[in-house]
Amino acid sequence: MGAELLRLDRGTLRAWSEQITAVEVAMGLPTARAYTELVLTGARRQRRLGRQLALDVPDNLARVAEGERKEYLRLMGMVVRERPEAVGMVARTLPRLMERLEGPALGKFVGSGLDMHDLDAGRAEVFLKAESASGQKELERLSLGLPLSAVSRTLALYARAHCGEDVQIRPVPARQGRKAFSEGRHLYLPERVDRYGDERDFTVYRVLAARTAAYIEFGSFELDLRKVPGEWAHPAHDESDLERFFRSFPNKSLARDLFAVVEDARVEGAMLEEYPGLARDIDTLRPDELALRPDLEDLAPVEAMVEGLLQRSWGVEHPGGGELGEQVEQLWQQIQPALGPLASVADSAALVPQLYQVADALLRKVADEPPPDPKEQGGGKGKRPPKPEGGSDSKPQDGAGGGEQEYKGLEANGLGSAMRPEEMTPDDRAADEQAREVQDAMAEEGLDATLREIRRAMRQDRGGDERSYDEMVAFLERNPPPEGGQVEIGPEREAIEREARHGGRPLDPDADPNAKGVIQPEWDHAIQDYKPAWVQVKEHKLEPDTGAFVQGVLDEYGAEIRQLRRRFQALRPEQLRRVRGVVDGDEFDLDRLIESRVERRAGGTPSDRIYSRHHRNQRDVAVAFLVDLSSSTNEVAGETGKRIIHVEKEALVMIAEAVDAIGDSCGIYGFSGYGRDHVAFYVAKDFKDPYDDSVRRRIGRMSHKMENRDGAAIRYAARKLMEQPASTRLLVLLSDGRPLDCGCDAYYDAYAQADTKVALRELRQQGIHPFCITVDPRARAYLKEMYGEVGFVVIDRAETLPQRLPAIYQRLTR
Amino acid sequence: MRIITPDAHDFEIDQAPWYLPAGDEVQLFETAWQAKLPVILKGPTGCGKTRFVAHMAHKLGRPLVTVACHEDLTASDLLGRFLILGEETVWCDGPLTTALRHGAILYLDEVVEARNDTMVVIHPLTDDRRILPIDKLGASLQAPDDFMLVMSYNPGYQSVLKELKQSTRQRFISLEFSYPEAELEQKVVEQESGVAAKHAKSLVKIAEKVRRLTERGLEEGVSTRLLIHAGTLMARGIDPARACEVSFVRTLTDDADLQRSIHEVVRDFF
Repeated sequence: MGAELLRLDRGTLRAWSEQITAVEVAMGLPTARAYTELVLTGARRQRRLGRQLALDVPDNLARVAEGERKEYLRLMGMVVRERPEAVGMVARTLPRLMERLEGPALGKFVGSGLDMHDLDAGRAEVFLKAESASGQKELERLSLGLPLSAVSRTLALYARAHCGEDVQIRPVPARQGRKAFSEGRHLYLPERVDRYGDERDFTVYRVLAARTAAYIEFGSFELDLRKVPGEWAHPAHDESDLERFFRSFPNKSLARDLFAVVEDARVEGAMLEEYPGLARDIDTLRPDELALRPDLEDLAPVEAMVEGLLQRSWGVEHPGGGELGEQVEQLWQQIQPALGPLASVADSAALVPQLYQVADALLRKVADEPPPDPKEQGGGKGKRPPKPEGGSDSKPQDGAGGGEQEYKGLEANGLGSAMRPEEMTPDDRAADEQAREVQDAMAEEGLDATLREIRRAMRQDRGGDERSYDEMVAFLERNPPPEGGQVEIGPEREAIEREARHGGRPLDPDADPNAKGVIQPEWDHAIQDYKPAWVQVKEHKLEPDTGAFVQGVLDEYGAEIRQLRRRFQALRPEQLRRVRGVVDGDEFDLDRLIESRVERRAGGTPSDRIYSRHHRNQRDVAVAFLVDLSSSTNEVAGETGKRIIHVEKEALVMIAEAVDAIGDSCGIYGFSGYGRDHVAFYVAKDFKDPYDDSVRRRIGRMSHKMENRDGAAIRYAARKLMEQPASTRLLVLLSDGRPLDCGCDAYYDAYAQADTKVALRELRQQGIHPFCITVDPRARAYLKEMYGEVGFVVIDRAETLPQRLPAIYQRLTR
Repeated sequence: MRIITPDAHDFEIDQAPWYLPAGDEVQLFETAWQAKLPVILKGPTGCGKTRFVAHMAHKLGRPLVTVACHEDLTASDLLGRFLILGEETVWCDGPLTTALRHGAILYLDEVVEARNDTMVVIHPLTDDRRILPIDKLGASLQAPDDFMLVMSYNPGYQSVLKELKQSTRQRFISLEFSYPEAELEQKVVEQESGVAAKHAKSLVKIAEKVRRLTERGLEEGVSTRLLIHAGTLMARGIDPARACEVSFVRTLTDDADLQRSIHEVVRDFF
């Protein structure tokens, strides 16, 4: 295959070779092979086509879910053969389409788009993007419901507004079926809702988000067993009280379902009290929810009872009728105390033992077995022979209690929601454990606080989380090594580092080996003082790249850039300093005043434009854009499949155009490096450089490198800014919000955050205005601590950065 | 030469503006006035700064001269200028001079909007000299004891070109304002808009939820003023959800996802 490529034109070969490693590393060898095959197919047809495919496909391919990449490449192959001129358009629009369509429907939709392409390329693109009415209609017809990805951001914001926590929306893992749940931190919702095919699908999501967020908001995970009368299983390490509570029953799933019925009813009551408008949505869905529930007659007695209780809690009176109906009504009465406005999760839990007893008695009656020794209750030893009918073939359960086989459990479906404390990550568990200790200590002092409140206070207190080192390792493992240098973790990396330090080959092809280092201090929060002469920063001027990147940006954003330039040009202040002849101003304009007097004496109509006015709103701004080029920027941003670094570079091109249009003085820098001796400061545009194509190509040259020692780079950028004779100096830092440099010394967490904070403070003292933009969607609690003294913004969808950055800049300097 | 000064009566506040204190701000303001200290009111937009000043001016029985600051505001706009009236050249006092002559409270609203070099004219007024030199008149006015300078400032306003200079800032005592506590805010919304208590309560709850979204893309939370707007529309028979929609859902942000989530929060209540 390679040999054939070699025979093709150089442009294709170069484009292909630039991409192939990344494709292989990120998506695996089979995909890389298929990609190469596609490029070859294209190149055989047309030279340009090969190059276009080589460049366009990888980024778009990354946007496609792993399992569907093969299909993407297959469809692209089809387009290459049948409509080569539509390749670029389909490559761009297909990933988005694949989220919404699959199988034959997808092929059909693309086919309609291609047919349209023969007549009008623009119309076809709009159709394939589903922006045109006909495209939308067709898509709706073929589409399979509402995907979570389309609404997850709205839902996340909605849930945050509800519970005030930084919850994320995640798809329910495949092994968990389709039922929505929360583990106490985040909300897990089904990947797709296709129940109604209209706006009600969103209502389903909305209700699920509200319900799962309500578990957090109304404290379902805050169970404190000390407040529940009864004897509970011995506590285990890192176990939540909720899990311990379930474990205290021989039949865990029965206890869990009974608890869920009561707690769901309590939480729904609290939720409707707080959000009366939700009742309308629940009323819309309830008939269907009920229709999805099994018929009580088809169930074994215990399941019928639990199911009956559930349906009772949804307003069905005497569910199942007859004896069962009566029994459920009775139990329902018993549950009432847990449903009052002041009830808490402890009240729900307190009711479970008596419900459990009734259900257990029912189980035994069916199994024709004497009731157990009361001592066994809570001991987890309810060993009984399996029951022959009514569920012996049910799914195997956790196995903690012997009675598991006899109870099948409530049926789950896409409309339900659940609490799954067992899904909590070890880190979250550890955080809870700590919070519980604090809670205990506070309780001794007579203070009352929920775990949530304590966790939040602890997060703010600590100014960061401590798991970052492990996270960083995981991070590095996830990310391909930086271009050029083969940097890996472990001994090899150390060796390379040693080599680099002793003047061996440079780690980074962009680094200038002859660059002179500048020695800077650093702030150590442990000693609350500066370490003088601690960091060495070297400046490297980037070489212009081939221009392929810029071309791509101009292709994608050309219209927007033109618009942007117009918008910013309009903001450019006129150079006029004094306006004469206005009706209202600071001073008289003497000439006009005399003229007006003369006119008046002569009996004419004097002009009233006799004033002059100063215009002093000249802009005098110098701005430095400082971009984090650490390896983390190689992560994929959002749904577009572009890497963060790519998006950042696009944003830089856009902002450079805008700043050039408005006429502000501007520098564009990147930074990375490794260890305190090797902080690298890359220059794409210095203040003195005119904005031209080579600057754009230098931006194109920027790539992800190694670590980010933010404090050092900020201080270095400040030097550059202070050399500028502007009256307003501005530093815009674009980073992932996580200063991290674990070279020969550890620059992370609290240390790194404190240094960054101090560096930013120094800037302010020098009269520079810093502004930080973070593109990490996992906005971290410590950002406020680190950037709190200066302006900052978290952009939760990095892919919007190219549009957002100019807007932010405009706002900053308006 | 004739000097025209607008009549003090024009600036007097006849009816007591309704204001619910959230803390000790009334007492502090009164003391500052007695001690002749200038005051800065810091706080997000629409949380009641302007209302507070009006309330205090009435309480202290002083006229209130308000200047809405803007970029083109010049020193002459504040001090006054010469006008040609018929055959005569007259001096017309600007708001600053007017306030000084009447011993009024001068309120510079959204002071960061004005350019820093304009603001320099107030400096001599803010130290113990309390004088206002007017070089065009060749005169210097001494501020009477009743005169007080008040500015308002919204720190959430993130423009580096519009920051209050330290040299200006360090002449004032600062009273921090934020949105009132839920119960208070409910009372304010109820009182100001005439909406039913039930709806006022929902509005305040919505605001509480929406304000949690600041720093998540929302520049500033929904202000009390916008809640009052929504309440006013509701009290006049507009459907509550629609009233919220036009009063703040559309106003707060252009981000479609964010707008939708705020819309959904509103729907949780109406």
